[in-house]
Amino acid sequence: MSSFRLLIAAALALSLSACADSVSAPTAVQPLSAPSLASLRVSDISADAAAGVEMSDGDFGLICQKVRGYIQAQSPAVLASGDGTQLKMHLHFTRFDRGNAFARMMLAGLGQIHIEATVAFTDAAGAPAGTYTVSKDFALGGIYGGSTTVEDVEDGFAKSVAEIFKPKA
Amino acid sequence: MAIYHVAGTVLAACLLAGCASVVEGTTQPIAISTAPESGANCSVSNARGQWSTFSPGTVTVDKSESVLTVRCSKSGWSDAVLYVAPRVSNTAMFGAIVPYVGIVDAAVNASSGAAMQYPEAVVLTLARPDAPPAAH
Repeated sequence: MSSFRLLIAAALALSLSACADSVSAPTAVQPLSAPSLASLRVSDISADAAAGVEMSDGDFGLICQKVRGYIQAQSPAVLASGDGTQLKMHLHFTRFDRGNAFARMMLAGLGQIHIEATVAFTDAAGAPAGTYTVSKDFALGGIYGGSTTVEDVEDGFAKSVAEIFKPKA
Repeated sequence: MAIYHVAGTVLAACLLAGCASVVEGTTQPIAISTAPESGANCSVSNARGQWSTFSPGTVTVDKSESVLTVRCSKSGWSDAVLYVAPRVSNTAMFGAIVPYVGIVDAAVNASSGAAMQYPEAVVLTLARPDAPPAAH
């Protein structure tokens, strides 16, 4: 009986970890230095996509809007004007699969949604100051999977990007 | 007995054209307002077209799976831009889970955009040109 409960708990944890708006930890390729993080000010957020990645201006605008919103909620000082290390943030999308809602509804694992991007920081002179990669996947099925759109997964992606500015314990 | 005829007609219509397409249509009105000032010239666009109005006002847009871009401008103020994501409508979700009918229903709704729904109203905040950028 206890192993059955353990199995249920493990399945639940696995399901929750893959929710559309859950956070996926960013991977540091070239981490921002600690002094930079403490006094960091992001003056501009922009986005583009690699060749072959289909995204519209609306997609770029919505994601930048969400990233800005989650940073504002979590680390408002980063977007405040004032003294500090002024950096520009650029999101370069290397993968943006909208998946297929009907396939997801029919069977978990089909019609998956994938978002993957490189988050690069540059200073006023254009010199690189830090680089991270952030990816967010969604593979759940059923009614939840079928009613989830790529825009829902963008919330999880944007939260993951905002994690970069979260003070490390 | 008449209720069966109505139910039968609706089911047949759903079979032929997708439940959400029939019940909710392929267009929807969206109320647009601006704060703190009204009277801004607002343009609304998605993958299916472009519409315009003055705030406060209402535009009837073609529904789509694409992001809706709302841009308002007024002299003396910085342009305000808001990006709005569509949601899957409950009717489309219901139609898609009906056995056998679902796959046709989902295909029709997806192609017509009827499966998606934008918010009924959006509010854009106008800022002075020298003000720091506001979070959306």
